Amino acid sequence: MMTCADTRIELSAYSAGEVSDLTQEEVFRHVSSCSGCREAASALAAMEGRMRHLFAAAPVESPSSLSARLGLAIQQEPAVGHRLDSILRRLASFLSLHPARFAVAGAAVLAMTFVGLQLIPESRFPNRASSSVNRPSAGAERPAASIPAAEPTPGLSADIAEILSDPGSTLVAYGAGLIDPSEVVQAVSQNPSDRVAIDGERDLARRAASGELTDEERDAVRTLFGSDTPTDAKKPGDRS
Amino acid sequence: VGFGGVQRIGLQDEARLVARARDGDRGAFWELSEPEIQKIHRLLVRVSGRAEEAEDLCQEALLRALRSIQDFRGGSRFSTWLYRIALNLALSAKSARREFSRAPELMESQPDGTSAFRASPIPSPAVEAERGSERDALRAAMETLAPRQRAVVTFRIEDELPFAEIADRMDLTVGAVKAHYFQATERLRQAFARPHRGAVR
Repeated sequence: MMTCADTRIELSAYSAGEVSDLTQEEVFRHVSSCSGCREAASALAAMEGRMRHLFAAAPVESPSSLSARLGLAIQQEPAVGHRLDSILRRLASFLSLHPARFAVAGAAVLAMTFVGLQLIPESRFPNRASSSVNRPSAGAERPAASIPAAEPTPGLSADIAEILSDPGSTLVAYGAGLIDPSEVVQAVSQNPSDRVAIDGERDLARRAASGELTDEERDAVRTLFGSDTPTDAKKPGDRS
Repeated sequence: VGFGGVQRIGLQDEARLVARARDGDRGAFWELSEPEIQKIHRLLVRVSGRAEEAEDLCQEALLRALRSIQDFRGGSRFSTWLYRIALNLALSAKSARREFSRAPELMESQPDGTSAFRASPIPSPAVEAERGSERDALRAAMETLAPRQRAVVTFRIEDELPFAEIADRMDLTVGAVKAHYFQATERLRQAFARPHRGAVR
């Protein structure tokens, strides 16, 4: 037979039908023969009723600005680590947002080669996504900078649709020159996550333009694009 | 920001978004977190008792989740993981500890081994309720509880969640949650039964 203490701990779950058949039976048997626990049960129900009433009467209203504030905080949080995907995405949209300022053409071709080499194998083998943490560093897989610039990597166009089916990849595709601006507008309007990403890249672009990239970000740029990239000329040391 | 309706994310979509978030895609992270913001904020208000502090805690929880997304292995729903982070933060917050340490002082042991409220300047929930201020009554009631008990009571009574779900969100066993809830209900029962100050019922 259950003790009063055991029974009372189970009362709430019991009345909500959340206990096993065995417990159900034992609580029922105990309560049937214990007036103290019957009183406890009705006191509990009354207290729950009062609290339910108070919760309902005093709802928490989240300020409408909260979501915007948190979205901003997430955008502004500095990146940690240099995951290749993250860097590629940022670079891709970085280049795309400042076409006039830098020599985008050359870099975009390199990016295209790069995105082609990095993304397509992964899109063909989705199961690699979880193990991608240990992917070799960019330097190890980097193609020679002299890869012919004019021709897209063979097979790339066949994978564009698949790349674009993943909303987060729109910017990569755009940055790599795989789709044109009108398609980006359309894709972004359908994919809120890309809008967040674009807002995030504005900050990156602004900081790059004023030479405020972190060493980590600058290293990533160097690793990916070699030393004669547009961003490389903008490192903080050049300002003084 | 703030775009789109709040909607429940399906398991498959969630897995895809998590994979992308782990790859550093903040848009994906945002898609996962945004639908939970209001619920988490509300829980934090209930636990901390302070709306502004709850906003700060909410932000810190989200950033902490963003920074440690690599630790999320998909062993639970993303929202559950977010709740755990937010609760841990709220329970370790200075204000929570301060109130936690204050709450027991409201109680005093009686000769028969039970405990009862000390004479205290803090108004009882019953007093506040009779004054017609349900918000104050709720505050008074919640102040009698330890932060962890506030979370359990909010989940159980306001959200009407099963104990198993509460246990998941709090990273506790079902037995532990039931015990916390029982202790909380005992405190609340006494708080409501506490004699009226300066008036005859």
